[in-house]
Amino acid sequence: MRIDKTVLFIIICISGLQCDKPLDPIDAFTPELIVEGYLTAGKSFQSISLKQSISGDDLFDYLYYRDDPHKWISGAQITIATDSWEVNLVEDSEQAGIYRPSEQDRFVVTSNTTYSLEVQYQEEQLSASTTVPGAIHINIISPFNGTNIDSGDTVILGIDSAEKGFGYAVTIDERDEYNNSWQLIQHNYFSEGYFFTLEERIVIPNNYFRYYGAVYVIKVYNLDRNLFDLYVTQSRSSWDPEPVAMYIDGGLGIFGSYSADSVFITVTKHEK
Amino acid sequence: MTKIKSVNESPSEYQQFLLVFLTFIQVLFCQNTGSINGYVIDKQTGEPLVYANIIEENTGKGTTTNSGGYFYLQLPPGPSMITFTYIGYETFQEKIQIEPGKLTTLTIKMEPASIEFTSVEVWADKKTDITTSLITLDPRRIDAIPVVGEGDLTRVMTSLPGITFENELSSKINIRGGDPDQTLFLIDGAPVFFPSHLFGAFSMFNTEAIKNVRIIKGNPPLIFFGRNGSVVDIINKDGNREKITGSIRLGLISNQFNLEGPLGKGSFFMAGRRTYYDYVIALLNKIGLNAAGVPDYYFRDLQLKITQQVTEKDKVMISVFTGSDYLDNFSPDLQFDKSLDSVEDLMYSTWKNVMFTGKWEHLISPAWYSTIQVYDTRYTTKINATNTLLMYITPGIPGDDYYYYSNFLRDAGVKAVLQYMGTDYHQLTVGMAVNSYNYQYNSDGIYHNKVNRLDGNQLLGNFFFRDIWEISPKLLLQGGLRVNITNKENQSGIDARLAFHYRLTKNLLLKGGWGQYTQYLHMVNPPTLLLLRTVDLWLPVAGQVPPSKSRQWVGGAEYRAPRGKIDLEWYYNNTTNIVRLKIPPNKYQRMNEFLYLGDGYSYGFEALATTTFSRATAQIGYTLSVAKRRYPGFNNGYYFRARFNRLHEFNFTTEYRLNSNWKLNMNWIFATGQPYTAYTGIFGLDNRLNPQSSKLLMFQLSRENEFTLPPYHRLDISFVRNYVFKRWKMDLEITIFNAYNHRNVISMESSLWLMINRKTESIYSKLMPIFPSISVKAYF
Repeated sequence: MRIDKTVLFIIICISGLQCDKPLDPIDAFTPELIVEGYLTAGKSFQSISLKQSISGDDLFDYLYYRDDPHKWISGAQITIATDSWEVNLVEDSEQAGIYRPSEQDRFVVTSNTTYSLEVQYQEEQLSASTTVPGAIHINIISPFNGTNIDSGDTVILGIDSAEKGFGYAVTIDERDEYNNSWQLIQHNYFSEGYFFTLEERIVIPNNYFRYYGAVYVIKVYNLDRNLFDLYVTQSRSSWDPEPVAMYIDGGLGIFGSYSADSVFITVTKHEK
Repeated sequence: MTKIKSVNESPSEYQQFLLVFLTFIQVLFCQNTGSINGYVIDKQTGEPLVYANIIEENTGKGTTTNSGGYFYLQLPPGPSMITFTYIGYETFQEKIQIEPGKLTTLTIKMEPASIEFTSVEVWADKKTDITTSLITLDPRRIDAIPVVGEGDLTRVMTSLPGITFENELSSKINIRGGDPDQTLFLIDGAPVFFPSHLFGAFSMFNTEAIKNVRIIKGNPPLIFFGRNGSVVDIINKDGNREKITGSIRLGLISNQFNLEGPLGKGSFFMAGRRTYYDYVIALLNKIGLNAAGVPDYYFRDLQLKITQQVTEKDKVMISVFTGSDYLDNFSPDLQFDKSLDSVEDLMYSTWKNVMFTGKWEHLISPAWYSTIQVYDTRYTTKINATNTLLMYITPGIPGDDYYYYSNFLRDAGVKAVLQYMGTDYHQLTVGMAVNSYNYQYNSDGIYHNKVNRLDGNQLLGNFFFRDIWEISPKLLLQGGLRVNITNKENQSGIDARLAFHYRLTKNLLLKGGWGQYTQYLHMVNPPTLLLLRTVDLWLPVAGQVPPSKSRQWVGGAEYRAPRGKIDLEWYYNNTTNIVRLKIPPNKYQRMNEFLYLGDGYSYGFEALATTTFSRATAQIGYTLSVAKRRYPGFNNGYYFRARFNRLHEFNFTTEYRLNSNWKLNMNWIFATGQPYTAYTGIFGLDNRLNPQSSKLLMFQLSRENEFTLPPYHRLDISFVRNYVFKRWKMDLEITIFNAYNHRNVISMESSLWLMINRKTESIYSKLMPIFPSISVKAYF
């Protein structure tokens, strides 16, 4: 059978073109390094953890089984530095993938200082930095009777901060007397938004304080950019995947800093 | 005391100057020739036919009617045979004797072809319209593409090479790798924003109202402004000048009507549509069939056009278009899977388009034609949504998430165009336009503790000049220049365009072009709506973000065979200053700070072949298309494929006459998959805000649009039966959408992994299954 030359030419051209091959992303998984570390103003630095991400196939195990499927990474070289000093971390002898300062290198985190992180593991290098926000103090502006509030009261908090961070996160935990535990009932983020400045007063509506006699703890976090953006973008709903802000060069994870203060609120019966 | 000017008063100095100037130009180009002028109209309705071809057979000289149906042509003295052609009409020929220095005025009445089949026109017979990448659609073609509900201009357009739909949930189209906002939609010369309806099941325009559609896929002439990509130029019917006629169409989920007829010294045309899907849902609930969870949706639109021939030389037109869409109780997962109904994502949104335009066309002299047009077009959208999805997949995340957006954009302006047709070798067009953009943007949501409102405006002016130069009978050259002036600093600039047609043989034409274009509007969609694309959001970034600029190169060839035509084109476009929303969109004081500013390029090859047989016509299209984007600071600064981009697309459309009563329409599309970004892995992080809870579940993301969806293919079929019922001509149409029930994947919701037997599976959003529908159309 004789094939028309033109048809043959078209077939050759088309077959030479790049073709798309659908691939399930779960099957295409390759592990990445995850670094995690937090600094709190005025407190001793604890540790950096290093592990690898896990396949989507491990989702069920991760969510519902206590055995952590992550692979913890040993043998990495991790350094934390400021402008004036540098500390090499040492891997914890009992916990793989956890790196701490040695006894003589322990340090207390100071506010308004920029800390840099360098991680070297085989051929991979990760780096990040954070500027530690200053300590904060919560004043209850309203109601005037301090930590005992009426059930109909709106709570207004004033924030004293030497060094404002990137944004505040506020959490409200309710005391669960039955289970003898605390339960997070609400959290929210307060930041400099598109066109307004960071508020120094935070208003918490009265509907969060529902039960007479209940005890609540309101905690305000003064977050650096890394943590603030991580929490905001991580909790964002999105149908098309969008990146979560992590600010780790060469890998994933978080290296962030914050300060925090909290107040306890007891709700009394509304007497009006 | 006010002096009343006498009608017999001699012309003012300005008028005298204008007269002398025009005469000078005319004399300058004038030779010892005769000339013809006049209008080309529809014989049955008296409507002017726009962009009709006029060729003098002996000399090959030719022209086209303008947007008012007017033409003027200089010819050498002697006997002439003039041929008039227009898509969808019988060819008309007129013998006339050309006298030197004498003007012969003609009114050409063309008869609509009693054709079996419709077609698209790509062959560049037009002597004075050497627009490259131009496709003219026969409006009747729109009904030949099977769709659910009604004829759809979008479907016809996406059956053509180089034009692709973004996804099945949207009527938005991408032309030659451009974003949807880079296509200028014009109705009767006035711009409209996002004139589409949900799911793409409804036509963006009422096709009954359309007289002429010109799609300029690339390298558009500079008389079009406002966008830097392509142009869809729709001219609506003026209305029947002879008698009152109309039609009614009743479908399962929508109905429409149109009415036209003589009015005063001209005509009117009005058309409207209303879907009643919302009533169907309510009825299902009422009779006990549980339709809870099914979204409420309806749209309505109305078009009205009044045309008056005030004098022999003056015509005025008023055209109004309004369309509103309402969507409520909408769950964006669209899984058609009840097992996922526990995921409660509900959205309410509305979007509305209102356009008004008025035009005055004046024949100054046989060779001079002027048009002045004013327009005002407004686009408003609101979105309100709640989302509890995250509660189900991310421990520690609190209750309801919500977001709210509203957006308003107004474009109001005036443009004036002056055409000179009084020379053998040149067609001159000059013009100017002034318009202003006003916009407003509001947003609120879980990330903000205050409502954010932004306002903006921009004033623009432009002057343009175009010349079409017939260098030789084989070679036509078109050049244009436009000067853009704006009230924003450093944003004025110049656009330019060059195009040529070279007729190598009688049946083979080579063509090419280059152009540089500017766009002052920027459109973005928040990430949460990226898939849905139910509405557009236009950002007020004037003065803060530089205008987007594109450069386009086009080359190609057209070959006319005895039974059909083949059109081949390649293109390369690059665009700068395109925008994308930054993540996270907070902590930024100015609009430009929460936008990525990037660039993109696209290139491709397109082939379109049409052929006609005794009982059938067929159209085959192939597109190779690559469209990439890059934003410094995003995706490590690497180029990535645009979300809508399909590498290969093949389209086959046919009309087949089964017998004297029945006709079969068929449309089959095969396309390689679109790219998407996926979560490839997971990991946990401490939740410092809630130490009592389990860890935060984090997702490892692939590179932007690294993965590709499975190929897309679908067959739509419709059977049309013509019959007469009690003196009413009627069409019965039975449509089968997705005839072989291939559930195409339109997105991979990797954020919604499903866990079955401890195994994780990706969840795919799939297109509708097979969907039959029926409609009846009656003419009176």
